[in-house]
Amino acid sequence: MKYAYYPGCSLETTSQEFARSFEVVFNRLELHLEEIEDWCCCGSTPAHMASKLLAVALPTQNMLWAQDRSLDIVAPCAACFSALKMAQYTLDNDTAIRKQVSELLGREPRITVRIRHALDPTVNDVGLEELKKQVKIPLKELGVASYYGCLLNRPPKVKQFEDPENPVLLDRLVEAIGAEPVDWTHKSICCGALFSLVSPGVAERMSNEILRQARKAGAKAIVVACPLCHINLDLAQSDIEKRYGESYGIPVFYFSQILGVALGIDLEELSLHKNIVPPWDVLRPFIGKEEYEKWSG
Amino acid sequence: MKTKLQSSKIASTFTSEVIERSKQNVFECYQCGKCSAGCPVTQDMDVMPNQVIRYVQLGMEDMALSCKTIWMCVSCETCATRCPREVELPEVMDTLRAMSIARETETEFEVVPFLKDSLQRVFKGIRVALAMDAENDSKVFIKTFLETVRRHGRAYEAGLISGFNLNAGYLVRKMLKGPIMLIKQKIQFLPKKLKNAKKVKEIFDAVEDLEKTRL
Repeated sequence: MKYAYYPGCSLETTSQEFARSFEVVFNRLELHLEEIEDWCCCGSTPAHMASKLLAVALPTQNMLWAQDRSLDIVAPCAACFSALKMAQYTLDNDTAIRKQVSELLGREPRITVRIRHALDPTVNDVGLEELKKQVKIPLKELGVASYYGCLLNRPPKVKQFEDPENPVLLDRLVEAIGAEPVDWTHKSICCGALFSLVSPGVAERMSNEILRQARKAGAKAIVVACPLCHINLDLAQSDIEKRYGESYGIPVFYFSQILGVALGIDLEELSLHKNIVPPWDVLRPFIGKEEYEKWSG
Repeated sequence: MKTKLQSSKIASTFTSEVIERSKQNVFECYQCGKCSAGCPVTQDMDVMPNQVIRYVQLGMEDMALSCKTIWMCVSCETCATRCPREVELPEVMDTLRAMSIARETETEFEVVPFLKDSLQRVFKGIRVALAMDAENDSKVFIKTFLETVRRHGRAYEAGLISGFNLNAGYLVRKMLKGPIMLIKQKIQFLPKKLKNAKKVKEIFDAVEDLEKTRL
């Protein structure tokens, strides 16, 4: 199966681990990605906060490439996925904006291909049973908190994915790879998103709650599906620890990284060394002494 | 909190403009407060989300556009998911934010105030760098982000962080993460060049023309 691939700006830089691990895992699962040629920024959160028209025009520019080739679009970044899906929804429901975008881009912006977040085809197009079969290293007894963030499932009218209050797909994936999904309170409670740069104090407070509740529920690791959630929980973890006098040491994995470990993919390709909170102690029972010493030393 | 209502302002052009732009009928809202109950950032807001809707219903343009709340909303969509009247609050927030940004760009740019302003920002930066935390600078972030996209076609993170700090008056916010990000090669020094960068600029220009605003 082939998909149009929309990496998004942050996958090239601050969340390369997501891009590398996702691409290699997708490939291993025999799903093929064709990167949208010369894609531009989707506008993300700043666009929709400044101009609705811009927030629709930028994603549409990218979606048209996929539309012309009848390829469904796969986006790992939750904000990109949200921007594209929202743009498609707006084009379908707002004739005024649709007309303006049509003038702007010089063609009728009709997008009928599916816009999907990377987690969706990875789990649903392969199937949980098939994924289980391909697991080489079950992550036995590893308590993992599945953190969905805001944009995968909300608002439900637009995303039409899972139950917005109680999504379960990441938990099912965690189960399929042999680990133990914990039952916890903060599955999809906001991490603070762009406050990471704009109001770090607020983001740290929100993310601290997530870390605290994950630990309380018995999780030794958190799995995420969004670059900004990852930054707020991983890059900012030491700041959070300082601010709240805590000591967490909870590694934060992209779902493709933890899936990749279970599939037996080479750790270098999963870019685990680019995670800020070192994951080696948590992964030690599964990767063997040699690998552990190579990376943690 | 005392507020003066004026019948001339109620259901004014402001209200109908917000309704038209956001595509949300704010009069559906019956102030149940479910949005405010679920909002994760209320403790950092000056007025509650449901009160912002009330401002719009009553045509209170100044209150709606000058509150801290619209900038503390991070569009997590928890409110929209739960609203029993299906009012998409984040869409209303986006409209109010866009209107607030448009208001600002109406002022002219002058040299002397700019210099004075820059000096003030340097001092603010020093104070703030020590405190490591300050008021919300969403507008600056939004404008800086969009500027990097307009110029390069993609968001250029190193430019975003340094530009944000410069424009908002901070010295080192998040720059302390610079070394580790460089070591892990998670930051690019130079922006990538898009073949189609011109097209993106054109989109920005066209949007500004159509909306009579400067992004």
